[in-house]
Amino acid sequence: MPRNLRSIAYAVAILVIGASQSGRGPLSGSLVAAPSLIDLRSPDELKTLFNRDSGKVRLVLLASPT
Amino acid sequence: MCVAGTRWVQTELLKKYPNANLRVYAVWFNMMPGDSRSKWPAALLTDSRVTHRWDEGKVIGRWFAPRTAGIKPHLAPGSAWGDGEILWDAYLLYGTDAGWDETPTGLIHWGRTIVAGREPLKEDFEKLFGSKK
Repeated sequence: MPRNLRSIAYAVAILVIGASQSGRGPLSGSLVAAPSLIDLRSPDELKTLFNRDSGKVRLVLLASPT
Repeated sequence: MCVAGTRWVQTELLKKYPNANLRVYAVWFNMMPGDSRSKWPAALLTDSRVTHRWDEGKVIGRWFAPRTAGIKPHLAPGSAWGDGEILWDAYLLYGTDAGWDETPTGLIHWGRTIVAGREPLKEDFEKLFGSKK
């Protein structure tokens, strides 16, 4: 095999092996789901969340997006 | 200002207390010119203990504002609040025994702005979770 073709083959092999391992390593466990933004229409909805989490410290943040 | 405050919460509190038994409710609404739901900074508060809500009608800010008179003694040092109709750029910290019937009980401190009240909030976290860093 010509030297340049061999180099390409090695590079492709490294990429394939790396891709196949990417879901198994420790990094995969640290992935965090993207947060979602759900509409709130009444204080009762916050009240329900608040009481559901009884026993935990709770922090309410009131913020504008910019 | 709000973005700076919420970023501080993520980096200085949530990241430093990953094992704290805590829930955060981030309620977002329009207050400044140019605010909109599409400008919600999704990458700012990414901790899994945070629940995000979009409050288009500002109902939460309007609900808390008239009730601040009753919680003035709990206002964090460095904070300031007049008599606005909408409470915003603010935090309210409640203990583990807090409950919400007519109004929430168990308030530890509240602060406005988030940045102005950050040092007391940091001290409260240290008291509550100092051993759980």
